[in-house]
Amino acid sequence: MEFHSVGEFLAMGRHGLYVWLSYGLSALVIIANLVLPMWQRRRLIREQGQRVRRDRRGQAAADRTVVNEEKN
Amino acid sequence: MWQWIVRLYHRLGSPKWFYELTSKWIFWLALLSVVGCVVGLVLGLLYAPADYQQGNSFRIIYIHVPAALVAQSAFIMMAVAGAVFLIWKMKMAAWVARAIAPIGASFCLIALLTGAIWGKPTWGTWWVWDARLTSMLLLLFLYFGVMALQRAIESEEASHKGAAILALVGLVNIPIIKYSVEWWNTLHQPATLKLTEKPSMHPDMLLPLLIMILTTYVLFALLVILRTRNEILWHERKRSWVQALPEMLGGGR
Amino acid sequence: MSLVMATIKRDLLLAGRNPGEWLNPLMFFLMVVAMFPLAVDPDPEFLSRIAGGVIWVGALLATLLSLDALYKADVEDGTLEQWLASGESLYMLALAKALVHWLCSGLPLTLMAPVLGLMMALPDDAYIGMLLSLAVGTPILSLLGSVGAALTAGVRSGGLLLSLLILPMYVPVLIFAASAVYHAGLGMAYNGQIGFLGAMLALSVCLTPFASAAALKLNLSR
Repeated sequence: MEFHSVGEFLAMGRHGLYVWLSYGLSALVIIANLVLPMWQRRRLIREQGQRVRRDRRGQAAADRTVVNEEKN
Repeated sequence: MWQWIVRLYHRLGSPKWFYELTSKWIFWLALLSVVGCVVGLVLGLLYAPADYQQGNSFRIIYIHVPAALVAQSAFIMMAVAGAVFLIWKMKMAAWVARAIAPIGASFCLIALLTGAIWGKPTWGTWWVWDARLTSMLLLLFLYFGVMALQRAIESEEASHKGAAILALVGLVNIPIIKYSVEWWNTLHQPATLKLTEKPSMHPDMLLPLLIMILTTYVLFALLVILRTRNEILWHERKRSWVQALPEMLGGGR
Repeated sequence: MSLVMATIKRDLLLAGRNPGEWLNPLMFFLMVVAMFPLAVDPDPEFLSRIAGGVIWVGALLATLLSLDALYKADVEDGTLEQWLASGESLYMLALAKALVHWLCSGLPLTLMAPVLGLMMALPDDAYIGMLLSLAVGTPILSLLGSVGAALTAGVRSGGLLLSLLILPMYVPVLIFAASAVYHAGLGMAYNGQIGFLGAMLALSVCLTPFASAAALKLNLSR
C-alpha cells in the first residue's frame, strides 16, 4: 500500500485535483455511454411494445367477430 | 476450422441470432468490466509505486492509455465493419459500424481530456502540442466527420455506405497522419518529457495497466453490443421474432 | 477514353465561360491571406516566419471552397447516370474530374502564390520551395477533396460537411508542405519534404479515384 491514510490517498501528493478530475470526467463519459443506449432501448420497447399489443388486440377482436358471425 | 469461421460469419449476419446470443452476454460482460475496473484501479491507485519523476499524477495512465488504445482500435473495427458491409452487403456490419462511431469518439475524448489534465502537472499547461495528443485530436476529428456524414445523408443505405467509404479512406490516412504529426513534433520539440514513454516500467505499475487495458476492451464490447441491440430492435421491429420477444409483449423492461 | 477526354474538355469550357468558378477561390485566397497581417502583426520579420504556413492554410481553404461544386451539377442534371450507363470506368472519370479541378483551382493558386509571398515578406530563398510544394501538394488536395465532394454531392448544404470530412485528411500535406517552405526560407534542404509530398501524390492518384467512384454510385440510389 502506497498511502497511509484516506486523506493522503485523496491528496495524491499534491496531484489529487488532476488525478480525480481525470477519473471523474472519464467516469462521466462512460456512464453517459451506458445510460443513453439503455434509455433508447426503454423508449424503443415502450413505443414498439404498445404498437405490438395494439395490433394483437385488434387481431383478437377481429378473430372474435369472425367466430361470432360463424355462430350466427 | 475455415468451415467453422464461415458458419460463424453467416450466423453473425443474422440479427436474431446476435440478439439472442448477446442477451446472455450482457450480464457477464458487465460483471467482468466492473470486477476488472475495481481490481485494476485498486492495484493502480493504491498499490503501484509513485513515478520518480511525475509523482502520483502518473496514475492517470490507467485511464489515459487504455482509452487511447481502444479509440484507435475502434476506428479500425468501424472501417472493417464498413468494408464487410460494402463487399458482402451484410446489414449487421453496417449497424455495428454505426454503433461503434459514437463510442470510439467517446474514448477518444476521454484520452484527450485525461491527456490534457495530465499535462498540467507535467508540463505546466493544460494543452501542449505533443505528438500523441495531436494525433488523438485528429482521430477525434475523423470520428466527427464519420458521424456528421451518417447524420447528413438521408437514405439509410447510402448513409451506411458513405460512412464506410469515409472510414476506409480515414483508415488509410491514419498511419500517414500519425507519422507526419510525429515528424512535425520532433521538428518543434515543445515537450521534452513524454507522458507515457517509459524505458521500462516497474511490474507493479505494468500489471494494473494491462488489467485496465483488457477491462476497457471488455467495456467497449459491452457498449457496442448495447447500441447494436438497439439498432436491431429498431430495424427489425416489423419482424415477428421481435414482436414475439417477452419484453415487447409483457410490460416487462 | 473519348468520354473522359470529352468530360475534361466540357468542364474546362464551362470553367472558361463561367470565370467565377476559378476566379472566386483565387480572390478568397488573396483575402484570407491578407487577414493575417491585419489580425496578428504586420512586422515583416514576424510575417516572414509564418508566411509559408499562412499561404498554405489559405490555399487549403480556397481549395475546399471550390470543391463543393465539383459533382453537384453532374448529380442534379443526370450527367452521372449517363456516365454509369456509358460503361466507361468511373475510376478514370473521377481522376479526370480531379484533374480539371486542379487545373481550375490548384494551378491558379500556385501561380498567384508569389504575389502573396511578396505581401507576406516571404524570404527570397523560399519562393522556389513554395512553388514546388504548391505544385506537388495542391493536386493531393484536389484528389482527396474529390472523395469528399463525391460523398456529399447529394447532401443539402454539403459545403460545410465537406470541410469537416476532409480537413483532418489534409493535415499531412499541410505539415510537409509548410515545413518545406519554412526550411527553404532558412536556406536548408527541403527535398525530403517535397519527396514525401510526391509519395503522397502517387498514393492518392492510385487510391482516391476508387473511393470517389464508390461514393459517386451512392448518389444514384437517392
